[in-house]
Parts: sequence; structure tokens; C-alpha cells
Amino acid sequence: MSKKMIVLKSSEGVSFVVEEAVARQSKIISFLVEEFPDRELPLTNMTSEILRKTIEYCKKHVVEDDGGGDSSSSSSGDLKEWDVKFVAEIDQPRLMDLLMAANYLDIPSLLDVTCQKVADTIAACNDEKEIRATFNIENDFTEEEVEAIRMENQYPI
Amino acid sequence: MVDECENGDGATAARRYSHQDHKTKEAGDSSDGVDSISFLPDVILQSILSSLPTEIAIKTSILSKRWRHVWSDTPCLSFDWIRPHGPKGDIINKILGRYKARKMISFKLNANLQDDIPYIDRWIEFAMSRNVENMSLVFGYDGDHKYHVPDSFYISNSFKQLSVKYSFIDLKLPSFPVSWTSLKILYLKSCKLSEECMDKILSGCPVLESLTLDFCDKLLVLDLSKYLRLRTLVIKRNIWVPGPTQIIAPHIHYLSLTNSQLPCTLVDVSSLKEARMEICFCALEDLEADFLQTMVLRMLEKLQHVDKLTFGENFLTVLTLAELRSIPIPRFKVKDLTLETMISQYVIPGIVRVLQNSPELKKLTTIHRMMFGTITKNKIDTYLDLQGVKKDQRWSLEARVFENLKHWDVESRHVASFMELMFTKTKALEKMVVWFYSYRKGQTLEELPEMVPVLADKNNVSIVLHLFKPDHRV
Repeated sequence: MSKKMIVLKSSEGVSFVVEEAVARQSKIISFLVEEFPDRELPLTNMTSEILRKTIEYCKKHVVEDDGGGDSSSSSSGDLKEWDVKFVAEIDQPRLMDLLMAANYLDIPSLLDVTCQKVADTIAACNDEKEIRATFNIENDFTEEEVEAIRMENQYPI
Repeated sequence: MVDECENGDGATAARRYSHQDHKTKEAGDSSDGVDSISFLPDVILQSILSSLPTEIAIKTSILSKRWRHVWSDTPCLSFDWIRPHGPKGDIINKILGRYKARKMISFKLNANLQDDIPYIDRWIEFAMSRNVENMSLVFGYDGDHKYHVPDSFYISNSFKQLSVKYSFIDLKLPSFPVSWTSLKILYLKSCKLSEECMDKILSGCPVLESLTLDFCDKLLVLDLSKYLRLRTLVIKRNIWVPGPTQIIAPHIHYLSLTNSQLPCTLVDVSSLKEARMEICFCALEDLEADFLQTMVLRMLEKLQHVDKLTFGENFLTVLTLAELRSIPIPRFKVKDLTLETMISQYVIPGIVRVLQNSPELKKLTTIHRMMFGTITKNKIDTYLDLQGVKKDQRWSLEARVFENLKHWDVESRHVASFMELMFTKTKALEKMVVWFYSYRKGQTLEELPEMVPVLADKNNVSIVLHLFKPDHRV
């Protein structure tokens, strides 16, 4: 039995043919497929690279309803490990793009893993200077303001 | 055939996550000079901050003006601090004073009873006033300091998940009925609660789906027959926690039971679809081998109809004892079996018997990970000596392949022999999944991924192999 396919188009105009079940993990696509069946869906704010990554994630996470009973706890552990590897291999600018894509397409689980990766990166920094350096955040406070906030956040040890 | 994995060789070698790794990697990404995070909408920044301890989340207020107040609307607060000592009351009060979110998803508190008792009621009420959905409270042991949550805690229509860890105090329920109308998942650890208490709680949770009782003393008969929606039951016992001794759970679909060397009976688990069984053993205990065999075999009779089973190493060791003493082990209808065990001769006879008694088995998962709290090997040998099981006839040839094998000495050939043994003892097996966690650095099992396709072809089984390098996290 052939599975129903849909076409997603990236900002560069590249078409991706995806199984509907895979794409439907995005709540937005799920909605669009119902509204506009048999139509190519343009995702004008997503590059081909990010769209490809997003589809790779969705393919791995699609729930196979072939009754194969693969929903065991070990395969959910398997999936978690896969997720960790998936985000670990992406560099930071692309991770941010992927996070935005997950948000835009409304794929909660992808949003969770990308947010978690960013959170871990923040947690791994020793101080605010390292966080700023990691994400290129410009410090637009005056020295007095910094000192005031530091006092506010101070914890006795 | 071999399952396609991303690298196509049927094997996945993933490395566990380590903070150090990406820190060094990503420090180099700052070269292009564009702020890669601050443009994100508040709601996303807040979901990033949600998974951080509040202590760290709050530090982001110093990054830039953009970040000044972002943290204060994060729907999650986590006072689960690593630094256990020193009073935190003032700090938490100060933080709550600046916190602005009206609706909270999660509130976590690891309280220090020595200093925090005067404040805890207020903190809990703070979170409840913001309709918190997931509440996690830990009250550690601190000598004479005892704390009970306020009565108002027992009435909430916002709780969805609740986790309370005490350190062995009697749970004090209010005089009025408990009402947790939205609660789906309840986790209780180290509280003493009577049967009346348990009933009073469960009666107030009309939509509860999952109940975990982790070392909950005093409760002897756990009768869940009235609670039709409760599907998942997790129970951990040890030698210091007698309860529950009887489990009456006719509607439960999933049961995870960690037994101890104290009696426990599965009275009714007739709707069970999935079960995980293990035994908690402390090296200081004497091995009550006869008792364990009787209890385990009685439990197995209740699990004969279950589709999906997981057995832990100690559980399998007890089955080995029964097998070596020629005690009959029941037949199973299991289709999906998981064995969580290191590879050693002490589990082989038990595993072989289970496989031979499971003719419908389609999928077998084996998880080999260094575990502590396994039954001491010399206690097993002593018991078998006393039982008159002759030393030279004790271990079959197939068990002797793994004689005196330590987890850190396991090589590719051992895992391959183990898999081969699994195939010879099963008839209808379609899929095998093997997870191997290396214990020491040099233990790479490099040849195994190449051996897997050969094994798969030869036995006409699909095999997925997951190899994990040692976890270097401290």
C-alpha cells in the first residue's frame, strides 16, 4: 500500500517529498494539509538545510502504526539517545535556526530538545561573560547597572 | 537482514552527553559576531530557562537589557540546589518577590529542613496560588526536624504531576477529603502511609493514571480494585521496607516491581500487559535463596499471560537457582522480552529456561550495563554447595563460556556468543536489540558491529546494536 506523500518547499524553492505521517508531526503542517489537500506547501522562512534537518528529526520520530510494538521503553530510551546525538552534531547557529523552525512549525518535541541543548550550553558556562561570549550577546549595561543587578542576584554562600 | 541505521552498518555507537564537550566546541562559534540568541521571543527564552535551576536562570538577568527581566516570567522555578548547606530562605523569598509569572508549569523544591521549615508552607502556597501543574518536593532527613505539608496542599485542581519525597515520616493527611482533581501522576517516596491514608489519597484523585510508591513503609495491603483509571503502578521495596506485602491491582496495565527479601504477593494483576521485575539486594544481607525462589515463581505464575516482560539480573539469578535445582518454571505468553543483566554464568541457566518456556517470543532486548547491588556471587556458590548441586556438574557448557566473566572484561566475542545462545534457544524470534554500556575506557568492542550482520543473516533475525562508551561525567 502506498503511503500518502506531501510536498514541502523551502525558501530556496527546493521541494521535499515527505510522507504525510512524517510531516504531520508539525501541528501547522497538519492543519495546512487538512485545509489545502494536494497542494505544495511553501515554507518561505525555512532554508533547505534546516528543512532537511527538521524532516530528518520527524522521520525518526514518526510513530509507526504497523503494530510492530516498537513503542517499548527501550526504544523510547533509544529515541532519547538519538535526540542527544542529533542536537550534539549541529553547530550553534544552525541549532538556533532549528529551534525557530520547531517553534514556527509547532513541533513540541523538537522544540524541547533544541531548548534543552541551549539550556545545557548556558549551564555549562562558568559565568555571564562566558554566556555572552558563547552567544555573542552584547553587554549594554553600564558598570553601575551591572553592579546593581549583581547585588540583587547575590546569594550568600 | 539488518536494520538500517543512520550510518547503514547496523550499529549505532553513540556517546553520552557531556557538558564539557560542547562547551569547548561552541566557544569557537562566536567568530561571526552576531548575537545568536537574544532575538528569540520571550516565550522561547523562557522555555530554555525553564529547564535550568532558578539559581542559573536568574543569572541571565545580568547578560544585557534584553535579558534583564526575561527569567521572571519563566513558568518554572527550581530550587533544587546542589549546595545543600546554608540557609536559603532569604534567597528564595527574594526571588519569589521578583517573580512575575501568573501561571506556573513546574515548581521544584529540595528543602533543607534545618533552615527552611519556617518558610516552606509559604513557598508551597505561592506555587499553588499560580496554579502550578507539576510539583516536586524533597524533604531530606535532618535529625529532629520534621515537616508536614500544610492542609491546603491536599486541595488542588491544577496539580497534574506530584512528587513528594520524605525521609520516613508518617504522612499527615487533613481531616477533610483529599481533592486532586486533575492529578495524573503521583510519586511518593519514603513516606509512611497506612492503608486508610492511601485510600483517602486515591479517592481524591479521580483521573490518576500512574502511581509510584518508592520505599513506602507501613502500607501492607495495596488494594487498587476501586480505581479503574489507574494503569501504571511502580513499587520499590527493600529489606527495611516491608510494604506492600499484597498487591491487588486488577486494572493495572503496567507494573514495575522491585522486590526485596521480604514477602510480597501479587494477588490480582489480571489486566497486566507489561511488567518489569527485579529484586533489590544489599551485600550485607544473607541470601534467602529458598524464600526468593518461592516468591519469584509464585509471581511468575501471575505473569504468564503478559505480552511484554522485563527481568533484572537478580531476578534472573534466582531463576537460575530454581533451574539448577530442577524446580519447574512456568510457561509464558510473552512476545517482547527484555533482560537487564551483565553477562555471566549466574544468569545463563535462568535465561535459557525463560526462553525455552516462551515459544511466542518475537522480540528480545538485552541491556548490559554495570550494575551494583547484584546478589553476591560467593553467596550463590555457598547456597548451591549446601543444596548439593555438584560443583563439576553445576554449570552447563553454554554457561561456562561466561565463567568468572566480569563486565569490564567483556569483549566482542562474548557478546556475540551470548547473542548466538539467545538465537539457539528461541524459535520465533524476529528481532533482537542489544545495548552494551562499556565500563572502562579501552573496552570498545570494535569488532562487534562487523559481527552483527553475519549473525543476523545466519539466524534470519534482525539485529540492532547500541554500543555506549563509558560515561565520563563526574
